[in-house]
Amino acid sequence: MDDERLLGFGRALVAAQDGVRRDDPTEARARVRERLLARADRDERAPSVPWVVATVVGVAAALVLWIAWPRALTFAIGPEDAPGVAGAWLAAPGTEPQSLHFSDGSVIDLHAGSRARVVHLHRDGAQVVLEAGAAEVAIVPGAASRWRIDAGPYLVDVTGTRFDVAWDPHAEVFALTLHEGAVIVRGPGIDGERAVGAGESLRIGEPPPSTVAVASSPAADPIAPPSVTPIAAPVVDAAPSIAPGPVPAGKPRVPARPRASAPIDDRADWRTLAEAASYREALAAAEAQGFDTLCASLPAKDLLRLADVARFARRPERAASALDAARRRFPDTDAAAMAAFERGRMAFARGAHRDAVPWFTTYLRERPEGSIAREATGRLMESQHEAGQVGAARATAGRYVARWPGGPDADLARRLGAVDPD
Amino acid sequence: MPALANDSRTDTLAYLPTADDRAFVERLRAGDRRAIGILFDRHGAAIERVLERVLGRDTEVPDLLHDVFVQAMIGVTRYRGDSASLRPWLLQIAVRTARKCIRRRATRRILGLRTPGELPDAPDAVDPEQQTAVRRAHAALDRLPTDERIAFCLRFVEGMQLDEVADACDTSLATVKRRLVKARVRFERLAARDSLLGRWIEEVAR
Repeated sequence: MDDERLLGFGRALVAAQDGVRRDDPTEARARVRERLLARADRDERAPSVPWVVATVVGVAAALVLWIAWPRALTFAIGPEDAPGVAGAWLAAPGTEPQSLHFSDGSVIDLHAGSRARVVHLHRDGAQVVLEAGAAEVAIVPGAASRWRIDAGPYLVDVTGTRFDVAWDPHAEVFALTLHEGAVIVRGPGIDGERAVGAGESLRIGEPPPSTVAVASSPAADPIAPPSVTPIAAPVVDAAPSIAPGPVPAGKPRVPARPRASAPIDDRADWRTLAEAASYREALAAAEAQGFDTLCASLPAKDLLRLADVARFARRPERAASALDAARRRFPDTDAAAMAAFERGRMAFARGAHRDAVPWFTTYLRERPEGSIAREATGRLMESQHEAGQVGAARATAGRYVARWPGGPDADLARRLGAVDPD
Repeated sequence: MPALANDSRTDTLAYLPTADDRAFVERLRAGDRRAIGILFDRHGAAIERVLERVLGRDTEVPDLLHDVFVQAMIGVTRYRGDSASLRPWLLQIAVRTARKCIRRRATRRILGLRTPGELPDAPDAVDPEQQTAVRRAHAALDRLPTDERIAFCLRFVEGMQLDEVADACDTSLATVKRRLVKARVRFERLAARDSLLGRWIEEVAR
């Protein structure tokens, strides 16, 4: 960008800033002027020596306390170590993994196309929500380590360990493969909690929701996101060609995934290409087959998958078509509700919070106890807040805290005025 | 009383040097209430605007504006210039104040504390996509190193000339040029990674 373009950007930024001004600048300045003159009247310009000494002592004490006080972890994103912010949504690009590096040395590698959020950072660990997709997690062991990974409705409590975890919200399939250490998993289909040890894998899928399997797997098969094979289906590696090789102990594994530029067989089915994370090629294959025909003929689950493919290929209009087809053709089903949620999420992602509200509301009306009701309620609350619907946001926040007082959006809900139930 | 004139670049009233200059600065040094009021009336709006250009529209700006003038009241006892150079001097204080604010916020973020000064909600009429783009533009500026961000904002958002930026930052022209080169590269990289922001810049920078 040359100087003129940057100056144009600056002018537009100023215009946008001035456009959102609601206060009267003259009035605000007049108040500052009053404060300034009142201060001049008090003649506080020369602080006394005892005051200076007390300030120095106070600052020194605060400094010592600050240095000694245990601080919350921080994290950085990607190869450039962009600073991460707790609460912000993170999405790995469709064809690239995304690494999160924490200040204690722990690493979470999000697989291509996965979405997550670091909800809380504290001095002994963090809480991370894996919304969809898969992640390879390497937590540095510590005596007081407190890490939790929320994968959909499943909670994975971690101390020091290395494992792969995946959550497919469409198929409602959770999968975990442990390489080192041990974790505790809680969630639907698990009676109480289940410990998973090194070399074991756990898959929980539908139908039925109670299907749980813990299998010893010394080879520790990698989990291919987001198409985790449900336990009820024939067990076939979703994409054996993209399986990462053996990993040196103690080092986080970097997923070896085919790049978009890899040669693609023209005759390949869009599903196969999607499994290989070649989303643009997959969408091209779907279009070659006839996108509208697919929308009119695919089963509900595949329609949602096709919408994912279009979204990852940065073709939101195609994604919307597939989702609308799912709602039109399969009314009153889980797939229709999920399509509403996805429509809401797409609107949310592009900042159209007002448009997102009715979609999240629709999901919650159709599936008030659905597997992603918590996420939908959180998103609805945030959308209402961003859209300036203050009363509605507060009401949603109240419902959120009442149902999920420890949920990832509970802090936001409380900031919006929700009160904890007695 | 000192003479007044319109400043063509900023549309704010600037103080022109007269025979009363020295007397005016002396009155400031003595903490004269009326002189302080005149100083604020002449330069308050310009200083406020520079703070907003560097920090964005921000609820903390009035407090920072107050801080700038309090620092000026304290520092004027050591001030050796005349009244004509009061504004560049105030600009330097404003830049130092903004720099401290940015660094304080970075520290608060590291400590996991909430930072004050969020942008107010936009009116309903504002295009949500533009609103998001503006928010992301500020987020991108937030990611620049502090001194680079200040130079970038003064040059491209406030529209200052390079020598004015150097003066406000109390540094050399060469240093400002280096900071701008680095800031531009970083900002372009950040904008390239964000399709919505990149698209918006493409649209508005035509």
